[in-house]
Amino acid sequence: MTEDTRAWWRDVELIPRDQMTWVRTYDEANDILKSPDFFSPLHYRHSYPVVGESIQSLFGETHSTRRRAELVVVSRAALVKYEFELVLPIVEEGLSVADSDGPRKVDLLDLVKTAVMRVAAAAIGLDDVTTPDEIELLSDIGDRVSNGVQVEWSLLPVDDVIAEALRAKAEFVERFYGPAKVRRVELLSSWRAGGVPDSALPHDVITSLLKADGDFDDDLLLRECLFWLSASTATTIHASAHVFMEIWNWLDAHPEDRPLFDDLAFLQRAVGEAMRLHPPIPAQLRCALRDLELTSGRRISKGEQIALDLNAIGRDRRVFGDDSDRFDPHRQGVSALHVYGVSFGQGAHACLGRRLAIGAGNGKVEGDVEPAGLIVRLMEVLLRQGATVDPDDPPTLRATSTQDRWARFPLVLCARDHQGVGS
Amino acid sequence: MRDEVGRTDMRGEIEPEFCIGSGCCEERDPDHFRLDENGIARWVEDGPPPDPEVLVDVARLCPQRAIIIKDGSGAQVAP
Repeated sequence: MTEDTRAWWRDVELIPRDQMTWVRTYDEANDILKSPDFFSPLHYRHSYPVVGESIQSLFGETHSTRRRAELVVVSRAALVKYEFELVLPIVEEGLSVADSDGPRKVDLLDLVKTAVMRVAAAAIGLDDVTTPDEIELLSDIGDRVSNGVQVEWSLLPVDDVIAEALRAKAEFVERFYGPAKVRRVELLSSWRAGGVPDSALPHDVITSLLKADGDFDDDLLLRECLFWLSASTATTIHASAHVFMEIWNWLDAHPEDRPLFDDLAFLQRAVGEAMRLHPPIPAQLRCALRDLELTSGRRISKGEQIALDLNAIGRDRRVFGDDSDRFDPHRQGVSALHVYGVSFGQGAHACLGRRLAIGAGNGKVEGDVEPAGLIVRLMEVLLRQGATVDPDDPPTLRATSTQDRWARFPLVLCARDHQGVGS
Repeated sequence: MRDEVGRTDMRGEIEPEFCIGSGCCEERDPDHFRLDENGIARWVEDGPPPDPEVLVDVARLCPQRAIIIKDGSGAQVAP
């Protein structure tokens, strides 16, 4: 994207969503998400000081360069480390804390939050995020930043949401980002002087970008870190609750599948299927950079603002079948590349955290040494513990967003270790 | 193209300087494409005989057009 394009967009307001061109078919969405002739119009106005020019809103060579620099953060080795050194021990510990007399209860959101915040801190390059207080603080900052990032979907006044996000940004700098960056600048200085080997450098966003460009603009680096924090906070936690609900209902209704509760390939397909029905955001917004025609024949004009309806696209019957509204982890005949549809995007802007959330293998993960995905591992542990939705304290959704965000998700652990749900 | 697609000695070549690790190749054909330790796609040399149509599909899916499919003679088949 050129400076001219950037300047053009800063002067143009997003039109109301009901006036945008809505795309609801998989094929058209696929065309648009893979095309270099569209860009995301978000984060150029209200949320610019929070996450402006972070990787999600970049295009062309600038995007490729940033993405390549950050790939090491989600490399296979990094994913294995996150899963086996952070996620699994944290979840097991969280469940053991709940191991007391009487019914064992745990809130799924709290459990996932701890694991996600530890992984996010490692991925971004934040130190000292280990105690419950530190995790809670980072999570709170991430929540407020995330509200700013997604201000277009908020039911609260825009100015209030952005002001709160900027306060969270300042706290993030003081408590986490500032000290972490100082340490990494010193480490990289030693590395450049030949004092430390390449293998001593951590594989995180701060280090990777400073290593690629020692003069990386500080506020831009900070905004990139805030984007990673927001992406971690806003997606995985709530997605995990949706996924658990779908799988739990399925196993309850299909006792023949209960022995599959620890089959990672089955769970990976189930997680993908649930993500298809519950995309992390309701829509992706795009703007056309030129006049063009989609494969379907639909004509798009330069500057046309487009909303990709992810809920409708994930239910496109021509791609996912006549029963596309239903959750079916054994779904066959899907012509889409991914079982999750376009819930993690497509093409060059496919979500960098996708493999972190649902692993590699696309439903074919084998053995227990491959990265199966944070959510997949979480489901396996919860089902092994016989977790069920608490019938006396059902999950509730937040009232401050048009998105399906959970407020609480209490679980009861039924001590059915090694037998699975409902057995 | 169809005659060429029918060959079984096809292989993928990746231009690593263009790869951005989207993972489309690994997800479409995990037997023949794998993201390495740096997140860059690599051709799996010891994979089973490839399905030519799948290989062509992989080349089409790559958002960076960083994957070239060649036949046994080294001629480019896709994209």
